[in-house]
Amino acid sequence: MILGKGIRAVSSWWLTAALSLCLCALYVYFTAGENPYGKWINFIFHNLSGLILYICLIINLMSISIRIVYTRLRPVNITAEAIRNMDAFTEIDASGDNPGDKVTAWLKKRGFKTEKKENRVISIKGRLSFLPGTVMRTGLIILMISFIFSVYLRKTEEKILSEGGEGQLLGKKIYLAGIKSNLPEEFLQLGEKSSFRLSNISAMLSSSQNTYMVTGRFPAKINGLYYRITHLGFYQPLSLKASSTVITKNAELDILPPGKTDIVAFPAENMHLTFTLHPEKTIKKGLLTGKVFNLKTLSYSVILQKGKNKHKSENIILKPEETASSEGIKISLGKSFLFIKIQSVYDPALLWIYTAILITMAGLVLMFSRFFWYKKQICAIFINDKVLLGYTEEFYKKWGIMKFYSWIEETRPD
Amino acid sequence: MFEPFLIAFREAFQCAVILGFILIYPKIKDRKAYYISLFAGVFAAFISGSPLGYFPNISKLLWDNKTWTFWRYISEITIFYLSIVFVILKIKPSVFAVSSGLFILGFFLFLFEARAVGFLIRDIGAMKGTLNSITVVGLAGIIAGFAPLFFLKKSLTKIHLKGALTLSSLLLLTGALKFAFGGVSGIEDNDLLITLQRGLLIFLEGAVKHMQSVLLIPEHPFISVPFAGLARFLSGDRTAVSLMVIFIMFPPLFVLISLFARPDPIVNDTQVKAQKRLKIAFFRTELIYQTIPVLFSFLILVILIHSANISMNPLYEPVPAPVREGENPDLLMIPLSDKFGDFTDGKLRKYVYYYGNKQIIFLAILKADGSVGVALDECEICRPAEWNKDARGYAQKGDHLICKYCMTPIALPTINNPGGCNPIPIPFKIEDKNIAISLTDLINTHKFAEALDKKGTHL
Repeated sequence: MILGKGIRAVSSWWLTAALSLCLCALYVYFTAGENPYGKWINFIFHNLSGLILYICLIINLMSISIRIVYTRLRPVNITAEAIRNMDAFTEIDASGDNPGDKVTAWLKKRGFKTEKKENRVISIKGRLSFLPGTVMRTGLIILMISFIFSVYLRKTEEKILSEGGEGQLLGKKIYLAGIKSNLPEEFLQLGEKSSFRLSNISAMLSSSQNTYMVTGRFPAKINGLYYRITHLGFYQPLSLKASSTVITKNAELDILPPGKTDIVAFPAENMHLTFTLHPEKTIKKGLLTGKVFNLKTLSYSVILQKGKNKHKSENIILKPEETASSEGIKISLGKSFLFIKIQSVYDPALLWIYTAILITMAGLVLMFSRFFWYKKQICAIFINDKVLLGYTEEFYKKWGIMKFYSWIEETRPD
Repeated sequence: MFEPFLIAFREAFQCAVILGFILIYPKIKDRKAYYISLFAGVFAAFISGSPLGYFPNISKLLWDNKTWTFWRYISEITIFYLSIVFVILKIKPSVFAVSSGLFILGFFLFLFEARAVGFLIRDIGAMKGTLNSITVVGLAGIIAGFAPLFFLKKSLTKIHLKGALTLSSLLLLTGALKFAFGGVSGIEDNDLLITLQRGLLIFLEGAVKHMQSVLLIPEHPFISVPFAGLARFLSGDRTAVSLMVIFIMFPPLFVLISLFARPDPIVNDTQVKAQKRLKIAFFRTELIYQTIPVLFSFLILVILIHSANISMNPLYEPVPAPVREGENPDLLMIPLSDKFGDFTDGKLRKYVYYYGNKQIIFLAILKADGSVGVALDECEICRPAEWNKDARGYAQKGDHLICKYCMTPIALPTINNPGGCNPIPIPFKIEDKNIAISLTDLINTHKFAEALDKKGTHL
C-alpha cells in the first residue's frame, strides 16, 4: 500500500512540476547577482543539494515514462465499476441472440477492432500514442544523465600550432601537417560593422601515423579525443635591431577580424609593437567609407612604442619579409604563416548528448501527431439482458462524450 | 500637499477595484465569514505594510525597494498562476481553507502598496518638513480610496452575474489587474513584463552559450560554427518576447480551453425535447458568461504586452528641423554632416519647409548601402483623420521605418521607391556633401500627394 503510494508519488506529474519550480526558484534566487545562469548551473552540478534535486528530476521522468508505458500496454481489466468510471457510459438492452456479435458489429461499423473475452468486449484505438511523449522524455533523460557525466569527466586542453608544428594534447602527440583556409584576397569592411566570417578552415592532423581532417565546425573524433579548431591567426617571425643588439621573436598575431590589434611585447627592452592589418585600399560606397583588405598577401600597420612614457612612433606599413626603420630601430619581418589553436577534449558523454538532442527533437516532432493520434477506448460488459457500455478518449473529451451519446442515440429504437 | 493624498488614494482605489470583483464572486457574497477574512487580510496588510515603509528604523533593517519589487512580482505571478492549479485540481475546499486563502489573498493585494505608500509619505513629509500633516493627508487618501467599496459593498454583493466568475477566472482577473496597476511609481519604476522579458533574455543567452560550449560548437568572432544562426535566434529578443507572451498568455488560454472543453449536459434521459433544449441553452449561456472575465483578462494582458514591447522598442521620431532656401533660391541644401550630427549614424531625420501657410514635412535617412533616401513624411495610402493627425508620417524602429498609422514596417532599402505604404519619394541629388532638393520638385511632390487626397484614394 505504502509502496504503491510511494511509486505513484515518484512517478507523478505533480512531482515534476514541484521539482521544476524548485529549479526555477533557484534560478530566480541567483538573478540577484551577476551571471545568474553560470551560478545556477554551477549550483546544480557542483552542490550536493542541487545535484540531488537534478537527479530526483531524472528519476521522476524515468518513473513517469515507465508508469505510462506499463499502464498503456498492460491488459485492460474490464469490470462494471471500471466502465462506470469512464468518461461516458450507458446501459442498453441486449436481449436476443448473440448480443456480443451485435456489439462487435456495432463497434466495427465505427472503425473499432474488438477483443472479445467471455462476457466482455474491449476495443482500443491509438494504444501506442504514448510513443511521442515517451521518445521525447527518453531523449531528455539521456541528455540530463549525459550532462552529469560531461561535467565531471570532461577534460579540455588547447594548443597553438603552426604548419609543421607538433605538440602534446591530453597526453597524445599530434603533428599539424597543413592548414587550409579560405582567407579572401579582397575583404571589404564597410562602416563600423564587420561581417568577416571564415567558413572553410581545416587542418590536417597526424596522430598515431594516421592523418585526419579537423575543422572549425563540428569536433572530429580521433582515437577517443575530440579535436576542433578554435582560433586562427598569423605566425610572424620578426627581429628588432637597435644599435648592435638584435632581438628576434616568433609572434602569434591575433589580428583577425581586420581592425583588431595585437601587441608584441619586448619587456626587457621596454618596447612593444602594435600590429593591425593594413587595408589595401579605401573605397567610398555612398556616404560610407569601406576598407579593402587582402588577407592572402598581408600588410601590417605597425606602431613602435618604447621607453617608460611609451613614446609612439609613426605608423609603419610593413609586409612580411620586409624591413623598415623607425626611431633608430630596424624592424625586420620574416615570412608569415597561419597558426591555429587546436582544442582537444576528452568527453565520453558528448556523443550521448548529441544523440539525446536528436531523440528529443524527434520526439518533439512526433508530438505534433498527438493532435490526431490519441487513445480511444470503448468497453462493454454483458450483465443479464443488458450491456453496459463505456467510452473514454484521451483528449477532446467533450466531443468524445457527445460522439458516444450520439452513437447510442442512433442505435435506440424510436 | 495633494501628491501624497493622490498616491495613497490611487493605490487604495486600485485595491478596492480588485476587491470589488472578489465581492461579486458568488461564493464569497454567500458567506459573511469569507469577506470578513478578505478585509481582515487587507487590513493586516495595511497595519503591517505601512510601518515597514514609514519607519526608517524598520525599513533600513529590511530589503531595499528592488527586493520588495521582486517579491511583489512573485506574489502577483503566484496569484495569476493559481488559476491553473484550481482548474486542474477541481478541489472543493473547506470553509476554513477558503477563509484562510482569502485572508492571504487580501494581505498580498495590499501589502506591497501599503509599504510603498508608507515609504513615500515619510519621504515627502521629511522633504517638506511637515511629516505629521502629510501623514494625515496620506491616511485620508487611503480612506478615500477604499470608501467607494464600503458604500457599494451591499450593491456589489447583490450583483448576479449568472456564475460568470469562477474561482480560476477570479484569480486570473485579479492577477491581470495587479499586473496592469503595477507598483507605486516613484519607487518601483519597472514593469513586470519588461523585467520578465529582460530576465528571460539573460536566461536564454546563458542557456544557449552553455549548450554551445557543451556541444563544442561555441560562437566565434569570425570562424563559422554550425547552428550559430539558430543560436543567435534562440538567444535573441524575439525568442524572449515569445516566451514572455507564452508565460503570460498561458493561464487565460488554459482556463478558456478548460471552459470550452467541458462536455454539454447529458440530455439523453430527458424525454421532453423542450427541457432538453432548455438544459443545453442554460449550459451554453453560463459558458458564455464564464468566458467574459477570462476574455477581459486576456484583453488587459494583450494591452500590457503591447505597451511593454513599445517601451522596450520605442519609436524614434525626431522633431522636424526647419529648412530654407540658400544662395540658390530654387534649391534646398541639407548638409550630410553638421552640428546636429552625421548621417552615418543611421538615424531618421525630418525637415519642414514652410510653403506659404503650408508645412511640407519630409524625411531623409542613410541606407545600408551608403545611399540616402529622401521622401515626403507622408504615405501614399494611409491618411488618418484630422483628429488623429499625430499618426501621420513615419518613425524609425531599429533598421525599419514604421508607418505610424498602420504600423507597417518599411525596409530602408526600399525608401525612394514609390508604392505600397512607402513614403512618397522626392527627387534629389548629392552635391558636395549636401542633399540638394529642387524646390520645384519638393512642391510638385507635395501637390501630387495633396491631389491623391482630393481624388479620394486615401483611406
